[in-house]
Amino acid sequence: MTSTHQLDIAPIGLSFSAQTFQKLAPDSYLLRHLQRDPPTRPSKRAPDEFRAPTLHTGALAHAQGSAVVRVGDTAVVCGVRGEIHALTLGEGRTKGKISVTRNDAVEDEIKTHALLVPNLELGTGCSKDYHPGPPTDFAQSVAERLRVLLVDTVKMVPAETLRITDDDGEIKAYWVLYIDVVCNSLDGNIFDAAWAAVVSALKSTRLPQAFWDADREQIMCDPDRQLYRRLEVRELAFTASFCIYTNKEEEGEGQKWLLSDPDEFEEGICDEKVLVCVREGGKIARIEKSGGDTDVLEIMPECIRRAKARFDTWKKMLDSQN
Amino acid sequence: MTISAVLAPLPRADGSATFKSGLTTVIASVSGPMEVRAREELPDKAFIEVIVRPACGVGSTRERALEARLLSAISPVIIRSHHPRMCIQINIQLVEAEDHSDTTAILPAVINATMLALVDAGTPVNGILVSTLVETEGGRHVLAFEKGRCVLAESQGEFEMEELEQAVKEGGRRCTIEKDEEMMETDEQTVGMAIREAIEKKVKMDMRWRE
Repeated sequence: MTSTHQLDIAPIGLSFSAQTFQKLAPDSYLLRHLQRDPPTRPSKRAPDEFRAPTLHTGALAHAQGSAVVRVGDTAVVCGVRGEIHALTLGEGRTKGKISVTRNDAVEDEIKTHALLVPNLELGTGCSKDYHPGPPTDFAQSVAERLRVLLVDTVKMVPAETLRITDDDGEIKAYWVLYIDVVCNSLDGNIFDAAWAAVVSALKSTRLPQAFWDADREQIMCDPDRQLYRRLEVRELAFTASFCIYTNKEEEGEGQKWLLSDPDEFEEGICDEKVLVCVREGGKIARIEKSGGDTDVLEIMPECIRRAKARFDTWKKMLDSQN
Repeated sequence: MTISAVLAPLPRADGSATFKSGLTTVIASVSGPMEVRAREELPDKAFIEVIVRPACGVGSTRERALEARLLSAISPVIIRSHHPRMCIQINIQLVEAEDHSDTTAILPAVINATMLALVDAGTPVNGILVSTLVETEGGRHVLAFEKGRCVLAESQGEFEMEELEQAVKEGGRRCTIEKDEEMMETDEQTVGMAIREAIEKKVKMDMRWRE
């Protein structure tokens, strides 16, 4: 401080800009925002406010289905690629066949044959914590959660739509869908964006007409794009993520705020995270609440209410695309 | 379903525990507080490292996801500020399971084994976290309780809020570690009681020199 003018502005002790405050004491910075009336987050959102998403399907020309989803500064691209998994192997005398025994009531081929393969990749430089190298533990665990939700819980794609049969109805091959999600920019809450991208990409997927050619004994695809068929998607489900911020200062200790759709800054501060996945019709498909000291029964009704409203937002957005 | 818990099966670890529930067996060991790698050092609290090893083969994304879930469950229970700039390492070895791909069934055993190993290691904790899997008509719920309150949930299926409330009630009954009159009358072995007994037994062994 060289001029007296500056001293007038900051007469008492230490004074610094809001950005410095955020860097020095991120916890207090968030708390001071939330203690304002009405509570406002550093991103100028209310605690129950989600970021407005944008969604665009069919952007990738060479994928069978694709979607670009942007939620605030989190942007992901999802591409679906269909490949044929033939059940016959080899040629001539070495020819063999994988026999499939299945129970139509259970429809577990998606799991046993791994017909849906989701993966998540964090693009180079997508966030400040990005390190080049093999997929981080974070990327791997998000990919695994996507797989569990898609294959074990929501069961969006019925197995019958992936079967390729001959004229007699015998299964000759399967479509395997490789669902790759690439995150271009990461500003928190990657799961909601990635899941919405997966759902939208599957919904926009069109597969070529595949048939069994008995003379050549192999699967042939019709190149005519007019004959491509839409992938059957049984039901929709969308997720909503939350963070719980607890005041740890002496004054007003224990006060909690439930923050919808946290950004990276908020995710870094809050220990408790909640995820709710709502199905079409309002039933719940999945709940995840990490440890902490908030009672599940206390917080869940509000989370579910917000997640249902979020479902409607996503649904409307997806419907306007098709 | 038989539940059994043993503290300190591994003599050279700082803390260890074996937890069996039905066909699932898990061994957990805790090392630390010990020196932390420079890039993981936290100035005001302990760094917690979780490593999950599968029963056979090398770990895959499934184990990474299990590690992330266990870390989020266990780190609020540990009083991390007691050991700043230190590392607490938790090693989980899955021994047997009914279905190794079904991590929902394995998670409660992993949480319980870890909690017991932390107690054995003398790590400062806020309370005892006890976890169980509750199956209802439309869903499967992994619930964990601390001081009588449900603090962790992982549910999947197709259900409504009422069903979750029922599951929490049932889970709370199984996970309580407080002895009460009603419980003494029934012979049912609950996960909470198994954990209480294991800790009581260990404390008794440690205090034997006094007698």
